[in-house]
Amino acid sequence: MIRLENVTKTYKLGQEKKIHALSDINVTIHPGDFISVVGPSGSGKSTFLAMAGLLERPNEGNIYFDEKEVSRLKDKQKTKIRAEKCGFVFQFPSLIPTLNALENVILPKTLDRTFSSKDLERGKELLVRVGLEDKVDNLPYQMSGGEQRRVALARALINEPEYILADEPTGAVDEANANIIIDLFKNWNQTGKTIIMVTHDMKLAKKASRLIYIDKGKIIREE
Amino acid sequence: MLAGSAAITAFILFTSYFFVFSMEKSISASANRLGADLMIVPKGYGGQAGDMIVSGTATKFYMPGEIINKIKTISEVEQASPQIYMETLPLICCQVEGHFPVVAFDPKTDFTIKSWLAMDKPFEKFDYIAGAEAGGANYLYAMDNPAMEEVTVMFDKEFTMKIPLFPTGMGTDKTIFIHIDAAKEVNAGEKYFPENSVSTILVKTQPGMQEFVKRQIERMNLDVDVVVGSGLKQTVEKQVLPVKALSYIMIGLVIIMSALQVATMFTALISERKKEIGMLRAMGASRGVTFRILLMEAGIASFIGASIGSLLGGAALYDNKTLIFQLLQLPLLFPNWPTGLLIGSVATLFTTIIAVVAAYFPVRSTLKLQPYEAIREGEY
Repeated sequence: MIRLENVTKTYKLGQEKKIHALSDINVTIHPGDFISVVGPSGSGKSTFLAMAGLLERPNEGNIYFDEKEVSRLKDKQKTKIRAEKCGFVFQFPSLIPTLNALENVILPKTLDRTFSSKDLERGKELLVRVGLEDKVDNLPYQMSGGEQRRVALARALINEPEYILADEPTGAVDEANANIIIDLFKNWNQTGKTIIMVTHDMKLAKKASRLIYIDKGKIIREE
Repeated sequence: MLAGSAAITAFILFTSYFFVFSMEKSISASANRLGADLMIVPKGYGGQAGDMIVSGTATKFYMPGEIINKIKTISEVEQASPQIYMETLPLICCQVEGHFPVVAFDPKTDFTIKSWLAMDKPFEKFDYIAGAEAGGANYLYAMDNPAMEEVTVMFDKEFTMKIPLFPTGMGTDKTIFIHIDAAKEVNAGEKYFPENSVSTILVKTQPGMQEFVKRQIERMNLDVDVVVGSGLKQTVEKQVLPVKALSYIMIGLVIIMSALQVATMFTALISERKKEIGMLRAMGASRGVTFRILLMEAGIASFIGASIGSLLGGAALYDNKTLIFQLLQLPLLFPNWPTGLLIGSVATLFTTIIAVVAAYFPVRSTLKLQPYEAIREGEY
């Protein structure tokens, strides 16, 4: 379970101006949730995701992972939590251009130095699960945008995380690929994974079991 | 880009140091040639010793050869080498016709002639060395051409031209040098000089011990004149000091400029890759791991680039050796291959270290950011 308690995040813009990205956020993410976070551009959705995934430190408030306060832990400890519990999907092309699909998928394993030969098999299996069994050796430029996004999804699962945090995972991909991605999320959610997805596409957002509306850094509604 | 920059840096470092090294080698050689600390000649010929060096006139005077052994017993004597003035022969040597003094020297103990040799080649008994004006200059820029090894008859024997001498501006330029063993062989029946005798002994003393050694020799009552070197060595060293200092300043500036260039370049590269760095950290790479990855990347890229730069520098210098000699008109003594390789390795290593040190600061600064901050900053 992830719990954000009175979380506030402010960014400085120049010497005096401040932007309140998040203000006094209180939310609990339960195991097995499939949450869509929606809101207009600049509303604080991505910052919310960054807070939940320990990618950012709040100015005020606390973040709990399984009831343990983690926002003020040392970088090494936060990295460990991220590596073990979270899988990220970014809104930008995030594959390493010089690595093939399989190598990109197993990258997190090599980064946290837990790589073993079994991970190669698992990487291939994940590529099968995202429908890219024939693209194992392809470099990113040899794949479409939608396929690259699916490789990124497979990569998010390599560490078998409890939480998948996805920032606009269907952005800049065609409708068919968007539907494939959402279906994958739904399947994974059914296997017990907790999904937190930021999107501005209401049609896709409604496929989640829970919706959080954010505007001007505040949660304005939950469904 | 980083590899390219490292290649340029290593190229400049390699060539700069190579030139300084060659220049130092040349200066040291010049100092040796000019600065035999003492010259020992038979009694009464002390006044002519200077002429021998400057004009190259082979004056016929001789003294017993065993004197050299006595001189070597003085512990302050570092080196002592004999020379025998034989004849001035009418010769055609290396397409140059003239009357050339022929001097025999001992390659085993010599410390003056070898400093002016244009190349490092084995010198056999019946080989000879030609001064620049005795035809050597014709082959100075074609040193690697085996055709230069032409045969000349001297003292009824065939001698092979082996090595030319760089111009010295002294009598040596007009002189032909032969092996002392060959001189002894052609001298059967004392045709040219008394047996077991030498004309002069050149002595190198420990620093500052010239006068002391001179007095020691005089006390031995060897019936010789001891002429103290002209002090040219010290003069040359003083004169070249500013040039050497300037060269090292230039190298220092190259290093500083390279470090700044790499730091600027790496700052730009890191700035472009902030998003990627943030992403790697989100995926489980700790600050330490990311730091190591980026520095290793800088190290590997610059090592590859620096190796290429050093290789190109070496190839350009060695391949255009003759052209460089012709352009500079200096008796530059190129280091041999192992030394060249060592300079190249040091330049490569140094460039790699510069790149890694220069990359350290921008990397460290970026890693202070939280992963999401890095991603956000990388998007703009």
